[in-house]
Amino acid sequence: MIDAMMLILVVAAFLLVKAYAELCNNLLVVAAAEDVIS
Amino acid sequence: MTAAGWLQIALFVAIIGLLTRPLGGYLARVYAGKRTLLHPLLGSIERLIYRLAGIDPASEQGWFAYAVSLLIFHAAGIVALYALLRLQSVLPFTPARLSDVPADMALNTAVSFVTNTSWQSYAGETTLSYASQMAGITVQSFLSCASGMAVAVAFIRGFARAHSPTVGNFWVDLTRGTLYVLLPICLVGALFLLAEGVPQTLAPAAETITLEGSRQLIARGPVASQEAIKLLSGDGGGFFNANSAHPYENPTPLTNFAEPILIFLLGAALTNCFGRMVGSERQGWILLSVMGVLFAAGVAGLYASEASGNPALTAANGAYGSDLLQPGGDLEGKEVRFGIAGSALFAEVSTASSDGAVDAMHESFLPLSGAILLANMMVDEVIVGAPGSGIYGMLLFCIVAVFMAGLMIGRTPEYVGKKIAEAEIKMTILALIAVPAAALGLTAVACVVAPGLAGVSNGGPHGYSEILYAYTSAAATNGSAFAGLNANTPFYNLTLALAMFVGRFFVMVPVLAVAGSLSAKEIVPRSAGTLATDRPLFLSFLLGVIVIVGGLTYLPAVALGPIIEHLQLEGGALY
Repeated sequence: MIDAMMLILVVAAFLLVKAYAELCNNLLVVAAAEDVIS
Repeated sequence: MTAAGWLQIALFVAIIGLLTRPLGGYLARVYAGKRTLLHPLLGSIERLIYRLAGIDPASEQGWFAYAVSLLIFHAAGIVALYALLRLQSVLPFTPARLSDVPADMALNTAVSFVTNTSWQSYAGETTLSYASQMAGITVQSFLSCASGMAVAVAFIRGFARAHSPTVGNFWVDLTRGTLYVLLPICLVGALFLLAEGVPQTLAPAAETITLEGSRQLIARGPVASQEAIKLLSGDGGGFFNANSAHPYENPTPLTNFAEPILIFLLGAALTNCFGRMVGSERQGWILLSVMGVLFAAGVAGLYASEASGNPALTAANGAYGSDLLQPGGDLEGKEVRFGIAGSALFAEVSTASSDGAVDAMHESFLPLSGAILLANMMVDEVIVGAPGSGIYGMLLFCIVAVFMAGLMIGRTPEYVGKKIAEAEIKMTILALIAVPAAALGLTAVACVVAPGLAGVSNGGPHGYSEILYAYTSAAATNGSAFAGLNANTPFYNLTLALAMFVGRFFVMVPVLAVAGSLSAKEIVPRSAGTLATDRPLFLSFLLGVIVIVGGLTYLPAVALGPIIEHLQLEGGALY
């Protein structure tokens, strides 16, 4: 039981970092688009 | 302080300076996929790894795919190491009939070694089996170091390439770093340590009868192979609880001198690798010079502080200088085999480099020395740092420096030919804010909740310093312990694991994002309007940025701990 909880914790943490990476990617895409417009 | 002590420190600096260029050149060739002296020996193994793993070495990844590969690889690493620690009692090579590692400690240890931190809430010789040490701890020391170097090289490619949608291939960089860099140096390092007396055996602990007639077990094991990568990788997790203060990890004054060289070797060489990859070795030397100035200030302060001794003892017993019968200074918590200079050098290298190995107990250092050790970690481990994280941390500060210089003199910020725009600045700040947010935020939590306060073993500002040091060490992926804090509790195991996780991956992701953004840009030719970043003026400016950013972020927190303790010590209060 405790091992399952730890495993879920690890997977959730990595999914959070992946979401963070996607957020960074979106910021870069927006910045690149703004560069083109300006 | 003695002339021999200063000579030891000067010789260390000279050796690192001499090794930086040849090793930097070798690293640049390895990561460019060019032929090296080791290719006839290792080339076929590299190709076999690619074939077995289904990797196409010619295909490259954009920064996002590179980051996702890294995250998947390390998620698997944490799960594998966790499982190994939880099942060690039924696995082979468990001579001491050890039980499985408790869940919270196993998670802390798995995160610790996968993030290249090596914070240890366990005593290796009484907790881990040989299988856990060899197949778990040692393997992750190699892989976490190789991935740190891979991220650094991807970041450098961002500066070096023009109009490129890719930053490299994570799997190829990981393989090359492990195979051509870490394994050969560790083989030589392990043989050297063996020759000096470090054990390498699968035999169980030796049983002896002491002079008093009692039975004593002397722990041993496959130490030399783990010790070499512990030092080289910037990982620092010892086989024994006492780490490099243990005579089986650090048996002679020669090993005590050589171990810091192994710790700094790759971090220093990566500055030259950076210079070569961006087409100007001078850029690399400027970065190494900034690291050198910060290192010199730290080691001189540490040595002077520890050699001056404890003022409360001086007040009680009169001045106690060094003479032929006693070395003087503050020897509490230090190995007399290594003395004050050897301990100060090791402690400075260990905290500056993100390695975290120790040959003396940092809690026993005087308060101002403790402040220096903290400061080394609080500047984001850019004083050489771990292989990879040191150079990318320094490059983040370079981006901040050119941005600030641009604001001051009205020029568009650019660094080694790449224009720094809003997106890169945002990512840089996200990367730089992750470590202080984790370190200071979790320190604040631990200082007010009962499970946090329960671990503190000293009162007053010293007890607070124990907490601050633990979270700073974890978030900066250093892993050295101040000692004194009982961190083997579910609260500390889980919150320190969180600090290590944030300090590693929430820095790596924006670093790779900056790499991706920069690699897509053109390289702007140098002109009369370009800020010269290969000149001493930029060196001093960069120094100022690092000190001011670090100072503004952490000074209040440090003031509450070591600085107050120092002032109280002057008044005779001891903790």
